[in-house]
Amino acid sequence: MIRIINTLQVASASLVAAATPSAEGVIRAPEIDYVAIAPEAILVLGALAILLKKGFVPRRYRMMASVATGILAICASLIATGILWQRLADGAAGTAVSGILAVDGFAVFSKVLFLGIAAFAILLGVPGLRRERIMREEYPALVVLAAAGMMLMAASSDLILTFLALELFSLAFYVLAAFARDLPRPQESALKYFLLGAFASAFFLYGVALAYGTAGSTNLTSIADFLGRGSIPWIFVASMALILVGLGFKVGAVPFHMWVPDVYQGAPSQVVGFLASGAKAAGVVALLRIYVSAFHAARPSWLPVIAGLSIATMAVGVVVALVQSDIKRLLGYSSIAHAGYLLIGVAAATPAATSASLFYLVSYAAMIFGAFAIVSVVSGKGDGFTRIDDFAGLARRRPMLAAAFTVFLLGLAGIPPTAGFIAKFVLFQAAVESGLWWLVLCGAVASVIAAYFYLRVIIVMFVREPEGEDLDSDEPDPITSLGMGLAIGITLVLGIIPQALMSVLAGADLVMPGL
Amino acid sequence: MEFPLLSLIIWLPLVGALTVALIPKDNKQAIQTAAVATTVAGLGLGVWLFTGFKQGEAAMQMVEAYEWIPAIGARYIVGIDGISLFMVLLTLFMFPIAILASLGQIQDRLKAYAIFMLILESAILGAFCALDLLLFFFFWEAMLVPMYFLIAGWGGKRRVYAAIKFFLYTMLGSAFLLVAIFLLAWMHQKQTGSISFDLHSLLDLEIARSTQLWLFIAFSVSFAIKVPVFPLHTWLPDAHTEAPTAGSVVLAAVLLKLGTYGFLRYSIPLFPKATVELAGVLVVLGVIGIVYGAILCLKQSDIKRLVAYSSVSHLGFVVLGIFALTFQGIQGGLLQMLNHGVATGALFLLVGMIYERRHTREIDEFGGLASKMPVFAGLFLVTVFASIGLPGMGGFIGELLILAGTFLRNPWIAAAAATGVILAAVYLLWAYQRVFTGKIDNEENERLSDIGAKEILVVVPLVVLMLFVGFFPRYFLDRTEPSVRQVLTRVEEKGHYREPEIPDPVAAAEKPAGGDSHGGHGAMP
Repeated sequence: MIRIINTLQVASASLVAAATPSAEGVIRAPEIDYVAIAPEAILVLGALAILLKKGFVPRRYRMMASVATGILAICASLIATGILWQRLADGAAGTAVSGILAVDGFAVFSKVLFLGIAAFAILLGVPGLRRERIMREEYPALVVLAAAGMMLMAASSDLILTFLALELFSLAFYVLAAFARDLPRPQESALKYFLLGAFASAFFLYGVALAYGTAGSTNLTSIADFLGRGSIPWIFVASMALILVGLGFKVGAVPFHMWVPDVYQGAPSQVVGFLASGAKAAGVVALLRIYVSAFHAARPSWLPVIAGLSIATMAVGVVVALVQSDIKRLLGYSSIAHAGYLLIGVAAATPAATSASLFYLVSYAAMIFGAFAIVSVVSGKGDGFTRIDDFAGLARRRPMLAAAFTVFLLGLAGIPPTAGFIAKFVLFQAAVESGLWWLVLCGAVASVIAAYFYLRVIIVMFVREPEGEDLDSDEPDPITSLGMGLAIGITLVLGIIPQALMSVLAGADLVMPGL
Repeated sequence: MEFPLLSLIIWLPLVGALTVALIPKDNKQAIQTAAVATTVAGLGLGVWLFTGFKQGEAAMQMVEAYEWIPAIGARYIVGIDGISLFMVLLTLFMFPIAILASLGQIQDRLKAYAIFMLILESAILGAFCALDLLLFFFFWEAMLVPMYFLIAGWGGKRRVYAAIKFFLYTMLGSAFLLVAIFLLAWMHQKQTGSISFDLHSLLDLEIARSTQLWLFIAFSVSFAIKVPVFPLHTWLPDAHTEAPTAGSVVLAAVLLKLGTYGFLRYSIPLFPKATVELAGVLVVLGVIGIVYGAILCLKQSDIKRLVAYSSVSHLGFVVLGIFALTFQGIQGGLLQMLNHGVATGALFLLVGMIYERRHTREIDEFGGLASKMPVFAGLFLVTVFASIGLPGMGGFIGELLILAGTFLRNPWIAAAAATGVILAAVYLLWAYQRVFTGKIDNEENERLSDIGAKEILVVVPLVVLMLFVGFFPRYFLDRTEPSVRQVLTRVEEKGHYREPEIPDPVAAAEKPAGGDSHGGHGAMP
């Protein structure tokens, strides 16, 4: 599997550098804007370094070296993104590398978001996986590769590059989902994820082909021009539908959500936080980039579909979550419901809704990472204790863990003073402003139902007496505690003084072409 | 800049909660001291607030306005007027009592309990003072969490069910409120170009009649659940009965008032046209609540549940008074909010004391307690009188004003509501009789001893307040008058509505057929 990713990565990197046929039919090498591709390029180089260093570093230091390289790559990429942001502030938004890579506020902000998610994945994942004794040197490499893919999802201005980015991060996640390879359940769920994911990718690719067939280009700017010129051929509508299937799978929208509960339950908890925040965010930013920006002229055609998906996703997510008895499945269905809320932001299709969606993704990432970090600590070895009943009496056994979990659950339920409240508020507000008050009403009612199952978990922690023997494994180590503390900090700070992030979002000038 | 007294009042309990959080959980003495000190200090600030309040002014006072989230136009604006003043004071008054009453009763997880109580106080005070709809909604939702934990963590047998029911009911109401708030902010953007949740600027919006109707319904459903107005009241008996004593006190005395306060602060001023059209519906629901709640009280065998249902009946009066849309009605409603808070709070405290001793609340288990617990029986009787609304008690003035205000609008409604007063006397006195009078026929009650000095100390301030309001109602009514006037004037101007005038008996006698009255318009009796 590692090798596949490796090859794919090389292919993708070479595509970035590859020539596109020019009008005369002569292949000309495009100008490569190295600053624009630096954030992703650094991550890819970091991943390669981790994978290649095996031969050079003594066995004893390999693990440490690969984690250090991963952290280093993320930091360096963050600096490169900072430089890009600075360039953007000087007013140089546009596209780079013959128009396939967008350099705009949306792309750059998303890069920061995904780097943050990757940093969390290392911070919380490494100690967790070590505790489980399934930590492997490739973990940091997979994390940074996934981050590179997700960042390209946000920045891609060409459907082909979007597809490659999608495959890049998906492949990393397929491997991560199978990280506990000695256990049957992770194997099964990873295989399911892989097969369905491959299926969804095929849909996406089919959609891209149809778009190329009608619009004559896979470039989003060209497609936007094409759509702006007049009527939309029905084949293009079919293409939009197929692309939506591919991306809907990634965000876990109903009816493409079947994999979510199984994978969330089967994969190691340390990895699920990364999957839940990263893969979903990547799908959402791609939806925003493609539908809200490039396909904006076709909004009348896709709005009913996305609104319908949103309602179905929220409804199925919250209703099925009510009857779950496993905490990981419950969080899985809750994440489906959140995909439904995020689709409201896509349906609204305004700059305000886009910035609200990004705000939502930031808060959601912090909360879901925190929640799964706690699940990974409480569930103990091999995720053995993930029934909701296993959380009984947690407030007595580990008051701090229970309090932290409460903060995250209240955040996911959208109750002040957490980031979840403000995030939902700004998102709903933006949707009402574009006339979707009925969709918002559905979302608000879904939140009420959702509150019930979050509360149920809280009740179990605080009211029920612990069952059976105390688990002594559920003492979080210092690094995990630090990660949880950070997540709580983000959840509460964004819930009380969200202005700082909001002004960044406002200043980032998220207006993409087409809006 | 003025001294930010309101912010200090709102955030002081939260600071107290953080302080308690730093105390080790085994140091119960320190936790109790910190919690009591915080709430008592809050009450002290309340006295300062009261003396600083300028009587005779209708506008908001002590306003503090800061930017909060400029990106979405949300601001931190707090202020008080005559309508919110007494709600803030009631909150500041009830919390020290509730916390004092739970000392000794709550042994288990005292630290968490104190933290939740203090957070709850902050959230309630914030909701009463907020003048920005997002800020209001923030506090409105935030108070659910500590209340939920108080019921679920320290409640009775069916506490989990009650807590979740309470939470979901209120949250369902909030869902409508939230969408309506968005629509208001959006309309503000369309009409003025900038988004705002500021109540003051939202009041200037021109809203079409049909839109007003929808928004009024959305706001009012949310508030009606909180009050609770029949038929949305079913969460209340469960929550009140299962909550720990202090939780019931806070729920009954303060939390329910947020609903009626919401009507007065938001529903009516924001949507005057809809108010005039739909007031009748709420009046009828209010009367149904009064009678239905009272009848249910007659059937209760659990005394705490009886007190809980009496809240449905009493708050029916408040809703009736408010939506009679007369000066007397609203004044009476405000006064009754205060009275009900004090009287029902005291009843819950007293019921809690007897439960502590006997661990049952079944009325049939008691009987003849007056001989063993004379002081307790006396305090209970005074409180029952206050709740019924006997002359000399605040409830008398409140109900009289409400009925007078309703009478101006529709005598039949007033007559129907008046039966609630009678029924209240029946169910409360009957309960008193069954619990306290006669001979002791249950052996277990032989061992009961009267309440101690500490318990008396907790109830006496409430009794004093009941009598004070009964004898000096002007003290309160004078301060609420300008604000109530302002609300009504707004409804008259914007809702094309004329407040029914008090018929002048002299003029009516001179010209019996004409019915031409020019009486003292809205003058206090």
